[in-house]
Amino acid sequence: MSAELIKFSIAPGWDYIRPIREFIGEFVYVKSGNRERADDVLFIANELIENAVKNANNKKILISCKVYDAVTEITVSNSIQRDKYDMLKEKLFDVCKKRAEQLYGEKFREKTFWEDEKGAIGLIMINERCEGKITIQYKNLSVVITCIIPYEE
Amino acid sequence: MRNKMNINDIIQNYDDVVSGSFRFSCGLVDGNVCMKLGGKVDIQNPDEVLLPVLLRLDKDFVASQVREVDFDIKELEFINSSGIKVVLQMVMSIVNRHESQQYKINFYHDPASSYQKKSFNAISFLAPNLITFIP
Repeated sequence: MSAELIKFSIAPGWDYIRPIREFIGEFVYVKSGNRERADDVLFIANELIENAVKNANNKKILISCKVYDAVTEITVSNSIQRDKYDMLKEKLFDVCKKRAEQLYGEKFREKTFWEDEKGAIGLIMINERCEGKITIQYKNLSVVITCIIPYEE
Repeated sequence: MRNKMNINDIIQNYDDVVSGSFRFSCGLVDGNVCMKLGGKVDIQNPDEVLLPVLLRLDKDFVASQVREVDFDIKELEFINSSGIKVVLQMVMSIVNRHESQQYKINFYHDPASSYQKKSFNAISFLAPNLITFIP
């Protein structure tokens, strides 16, 4: 299986998010010819990088995108405190076990989702697009999140 | 007729919201209220820019006894999950109200863009009876 690999190493600046997600989206479209899946990758890249920018504590963010013939694998890594990582892992574990309909229902019943400006649905939207193929690791004081997006349903 | 005149007056008081690279507007099209969101909603805090306008419009729609509004997202190129949450908050305020004060929203999307409908999928889970997607 042939693969192309693109990598970015960026400071956590909000202004970098758009050009990187659009580059990744176009690259996946050129390789796959599948606009819907390229848009899925673009959205996932955006959400992962936004999250990294918010949490990176002024340290570099690493982004890699491997584009295979049938799937794209996108990985984003940023510095994180261990307790925040544990919380994120727990959330992710919960999200990956359930269907989108159930997850949205639960989220909408949470009072904190509506009251807390940080209450978010990004993880659920990512999970919908990569069909649960998300992994999370803690490496060298950083969180590493990888999503695999297939081109065919 | 009286309701339409009221809503016309209300809408004339709204200025378009332009922020980053998106634009939100509200007007009357063929006598129907039509909100329009286009461009790329990818700013960090869309709740600070977009939510106050949507909630103010929502309040005015109720006061004017509007029963149905259109929401044109055909020119929406991108919206992040924070932007979706802002639209969800408007819909939630409708859901939380007595039925007599609720109104329906018709989302007009570009059929060639699966992206638009997929992004707004969460909203249909919140209020399936009030939300319609029209290509």
